[in-house]
This record gives sequence, C-alpha cells and structure tokens, in this order.
Amino acid sequence: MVEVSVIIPVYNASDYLEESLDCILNQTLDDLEVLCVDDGSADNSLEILNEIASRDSRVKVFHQENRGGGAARNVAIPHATGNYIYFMDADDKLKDYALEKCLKISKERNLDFLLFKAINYAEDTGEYFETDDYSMNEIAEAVGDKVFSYDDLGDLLFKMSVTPWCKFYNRNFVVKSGAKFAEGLIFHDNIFFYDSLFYAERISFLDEVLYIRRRHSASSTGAGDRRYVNYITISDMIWSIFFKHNVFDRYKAELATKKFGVINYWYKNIQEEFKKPYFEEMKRDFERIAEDREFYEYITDDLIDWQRNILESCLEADIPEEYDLMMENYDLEIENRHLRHLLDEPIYKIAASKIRK
Amino acid sequence: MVKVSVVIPVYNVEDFLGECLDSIINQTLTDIEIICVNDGSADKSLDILNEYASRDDRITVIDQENGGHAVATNRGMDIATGKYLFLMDSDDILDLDALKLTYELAEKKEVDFVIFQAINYYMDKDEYIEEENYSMTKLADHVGDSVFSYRDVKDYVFDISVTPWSKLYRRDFIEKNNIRFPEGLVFDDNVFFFDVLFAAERITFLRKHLFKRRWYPTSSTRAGDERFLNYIPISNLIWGIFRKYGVFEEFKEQLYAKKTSTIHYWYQNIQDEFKEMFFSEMKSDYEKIAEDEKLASDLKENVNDRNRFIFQSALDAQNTREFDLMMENYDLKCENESLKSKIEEFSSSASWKITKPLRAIRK
Repeated sequence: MVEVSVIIPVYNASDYLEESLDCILNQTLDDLEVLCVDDGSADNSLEILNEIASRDSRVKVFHQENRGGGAARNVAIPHATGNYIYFMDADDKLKDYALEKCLKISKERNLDFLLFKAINYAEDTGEYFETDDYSMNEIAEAVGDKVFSYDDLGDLLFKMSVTPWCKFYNRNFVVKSGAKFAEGLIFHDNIFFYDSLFYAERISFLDEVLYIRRRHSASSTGAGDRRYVNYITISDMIWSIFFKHNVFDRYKAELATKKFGVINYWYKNIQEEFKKPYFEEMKRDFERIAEDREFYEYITDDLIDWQRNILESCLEADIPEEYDLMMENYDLEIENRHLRHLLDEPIYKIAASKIRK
Repeated sequence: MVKVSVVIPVYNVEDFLGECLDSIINQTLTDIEIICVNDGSADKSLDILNEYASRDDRITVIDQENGGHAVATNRGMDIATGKYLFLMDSDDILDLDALKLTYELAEKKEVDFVIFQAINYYMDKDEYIEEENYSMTKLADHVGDSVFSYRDVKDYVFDISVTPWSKLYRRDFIEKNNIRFPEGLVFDDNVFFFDVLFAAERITFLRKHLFKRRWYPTSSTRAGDERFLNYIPISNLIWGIFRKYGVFEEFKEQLYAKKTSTIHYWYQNIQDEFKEMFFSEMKSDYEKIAEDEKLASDLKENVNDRNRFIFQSALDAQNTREFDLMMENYDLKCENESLKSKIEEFSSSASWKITKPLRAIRK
C-alpha cells in the first residue's frame, strides 16, 4: 500500500503530458502510484501514457471513451490504494517537494484534507502571476496553521478554491464522504468540493505555492462555448448539496450570488451563438424556483436588488433580447439616478446658477 | 335652398343633446335645415330628437343602425340641400350668432370655407379655457382678414384645428370635390380636414370663439381602447390625401413625424391588452414602407433621431415588450448623455474652479 495515489484525467494533453508526468514521477516522495485515465483522447496521449507506464511501474493507465474529466476522476478513485489522494491536471506542474511536504503535514495534523496555494503561468509571455482565487490570502490570514472545519470559516468558505489540484486528500475521508465529481458537465469540481467539504472535520492551509496553473494566453478566459450552459445545472447541484447538509439558510446570500450572479455572468460571457439556448435554460431554471410560491418568497425575501433584477427580468422576458435590454436599462436607471443626485449637490447648483446668469 | 344645412350625428348623448339642439334651433340665422342622424343610440337620444322635431319643422331625423361618426355624418351630408354646410357635434354648444356671422362672412368674401375659433368648456368646474389648438392665434395673426389658400399658410398647415365643427363649408365646394369622411375609423376628421384644406382655393378666418367644446369625464379620445389602432390606417389615408394634391414632398417632414411619433404616441396611450395588436400592425405598416427603399431612406433622413429610432426599432423588435424596452433604453441613454454633459459643463465652468478649494475641504 503506497502513501499517495495521484489521479490524472488525460484528454488531448499531448503537448504537456510528459512534462506534467515528470513533475509527479520526479517528486522527492517516490512512494506513490499514478493512475492516469485517458478520457478518449483523439491525439497520441494514450500512447505517451503507455510508453511512460512501460518505463515506470508506478504508473497505471486506464482508458475510457470520452466522458469528461469528472467521470475520469470518479473512475480512478475506487482503484486508488494510497493513504492519500492527489488530483493532478495533465497540463500543469507541481513543485517537486509538494507531495512530500503535504504528506508530512497531513500526517502530523491528522487531516481530512490540506489546502495549498497555486500560481498562474502565462504561456505566451512566460510570466507568473497571482490571482485571488488561487492565493486565498484571506483564508491564510484567518486560519494560520490551525486545524479548522467549514464551520470556523463563516463566509470565507466561499473564498476557498474549488479546484481539486490545490488540495491533498486523505483517501479514507474521500471514500467515507461518498463525494463524487459531477459527470458530463464542466465546473464539475464544484460538486466534489462542496460535497466533501461538509464532511471534513480537520482541514489545514499551507501558505505556500506548490502548483503552477498553465494559462495558454494571458487572458485565457475568452467567451464561453456551449458547455458553459452546464453552469446552470451545476448551480442547482450546489444548492442541493447545501440543503442536504442543512446549511443552505446559513449561506443563503452567497448561494444566491452563485446562482443569479454567476449564471448571469456566464450568460454575458458566452459566445453569441449560444446565447439563446443559454437564456432558455436559465429561464427554465428560474421558473422552477418560481413554481413553488413559498420557496420563491423565501429566496427573494432578502435578495439584493441587482440579483432580484436578474431573476425578475429573466422570468418576465420571453426572448434574450428583452432580457438584455432589461439589464441594460436597470444599470442606466441607477446611473442616471446617481447623476441626478450629483447635480442636486449644492456645488453644482451654484455652478448652474452662475452659468445661467 | 336654405342658407345653411346643419348636420348632427347623434350617438348616446341624452345628457347633452337638449342643450346642443337648443343652441341650433335658437340660431339668429333662421333660414336653416337641421339634419339629425341617430346612429343607433341605446339611450333616449332618439326620443329627444323626435320631440324636438315635432316642435320645429326645420328638423329632419334619420334613424340608422350604429355605423360610427363618419357613416352618420356622410349620410347627413348626402341629403343636405343648403348653400352652406355646418357639421355639429351632438354634445357641444354653438354660439347663437355663429351661423349668421360665418354665413355673412362667407358670402361677402366668396370663400370655400370659413375657419373660426372654439373654446373648451370644462363641465365639472364650469370653466371656459382657451387653447391654442382651437384659438389658432398664430394663423389668425398671419392671415388677418385676408382670403388665402393653403399656399399662403404653409407654415401653419399643421397648426389648424382639424375638427369639422370649427368651420362653415360651402356645400357645392364639398360636393364638387367628393369630400366625405372615411368610414369606420376614429381620427377620421384628420382626413376630411386635409382633403378640404388642399382642395380649397379661397379660405378666410373669423377671429371669434363661436363654439364651446364640452369636456366631461368620459370623452371618447381618452378611451385608450383598440380604436386608437385606427391611427395607423388613418396615417396612410392622410398620406394619400397629401399625395392626391401633390403636396407630399413639400410637407414630408411633418408627415414622416406623424407616421412615427404620432403613431407611437397612440401606441403608448392604448390599454395594455391592445398593445400587442397595435405593435403588430405598426410593424406591418413600417414593413410596407421599408419595402420601398427610397421611401424608407427618405423617411429616415427627414425625421429627428428619436423618430428614426422608433421606425427602426419597430422593424427590429420581435414583440411589443422588446420594442418598449428599446424605446426605454433610448430615452435612458439620452437622459444619461444629457446629465453627463451638464456635469461636464459645470465642472469646467469658472465657478467650479473657484469652488475647488471648498470642495476639497468638504471631502
């Protein structure tokens, strides 16, 4: 039985696969197994995996037809035999002492999982840059070296990155929690993260960058494609998880933002051709909320204005063009109100009267 | 041949009919005929008419099924025999000297029709209030006592009240030109008026308020019901009149404005349940215009920015709500720009600079 099982879903990763596997195989900790799941790659990722496996017996290769990264990770979990699990992404990099250090701290503190920092690497410029979501500085400040659970974080809970590769998990904990990645959907890591989070009693934060996230261009979040509509389903699943653990009411405001704010964000950032189907899915989702009168009132009771506007506008609009105009008009009204107030300021009134003279 | 035929279409006006008829039968000009067309009233209007007719043999009463103001008036015009024609509204009041004064003026100046002034009578407050639309002072100042045609008042063509009852017409002028009201539509007086205006060679203005237009809580142009939709076909009939007389090009700016902002005005004032229907008809109407590329671009070039936006948006929008949102968006953006430029204007003004130290302290 090895110490660490590394799970890597692989899909058309031939560009960086060898480099990322090297990071793992050259870790200062060598007591590990590497479970690589080829998710129906169209390139020669599978050949690369088999070739590496033939040279290093720690590598085990699984193959499936394309079912997405979530399914790939789920498939590997039951095959893991290590005391700990680490989820790696096939085009990123891990510092060579990462697994050794994570193992040491996790054992010392008897953790369910350990959280650590990541940094971004811009492929085209060769620059490293930090982003709030992977640096999690507020959490670092709040917890220091302590062992904590979600309960100690309050709203900071939502500052935790949901990505699997910035965590080091105890395998028994993962199995007991029954947490799985959502399948056939992007944003699937949200589900695994939140579902497992509420079972975790012992979590710690390691204030060090261990992971390098490759960004294929400095601004890689271009407009979303048709898969981004998955966010709507994911947001439902997130709400379900919080209900399941009886913590929905406690985090209601943030969850509202996750639903209305983020769904609207992806709507605005989706490619033109996918706007209409996205809008229709969004509308269906909101209509389900509105169907249950009591639940609708519960949700909208303390909903902040701009989110209420998103919900109500989407329910009212029949077509995306109407929705877009409602959103734009809402913003203009607020701006105009603000400008009118400015003009009411005594300073402006003095200026106005002088000009009229 | 009597001097004046008074034609009165009557529909459900039992409350005010008596006062109206009194003002006619007591005209100082007595050589008149009074043709009352009962347009299928459901109340006691017909009884009142018959009662008056029994006392005064100048009165003829025609009873017909409801067909609307135009049908009733046209029918009355068809059987009129007088030298002049006066079209009365059955809930209003005519000054007792009105027919005498206008008849004498028309004879003296040998005109096709005489225009005179009206005043608003607000019943519930018992107040008389003047309004430029009925007083037409700008026109009056311009023409004085002269005899004119539309050519002399081109700048005032759209300032003249279109109401049929603020005029006395020479009947053979009307008949020679085959002028009647378009049937089954409200706003029908618009069409009649422009037809008369452009056909006339000789017109004169009598600067006296001789007609009292009664205002009471349930007047028809406040209904906001589906009849407001009529404005769309009416706008086409109006265009037709201007084209008939070859004056479309000359007045096209105002005609394009009627097609855009006036239609939009009625659209905004219609009851919600009829909005979708109105929008749909408006859109079809604009689509027909858009089929004629030259006309469409001429329209767009000759209207103001907002009207241009109305035209284009009605074409682009898929439904009434999208259209409303587009218009709201346009107005919000205009307000936004105007507010921003006011702030900029003040920020760069001298007094702004002088008060700069004060503002710094305030912060």
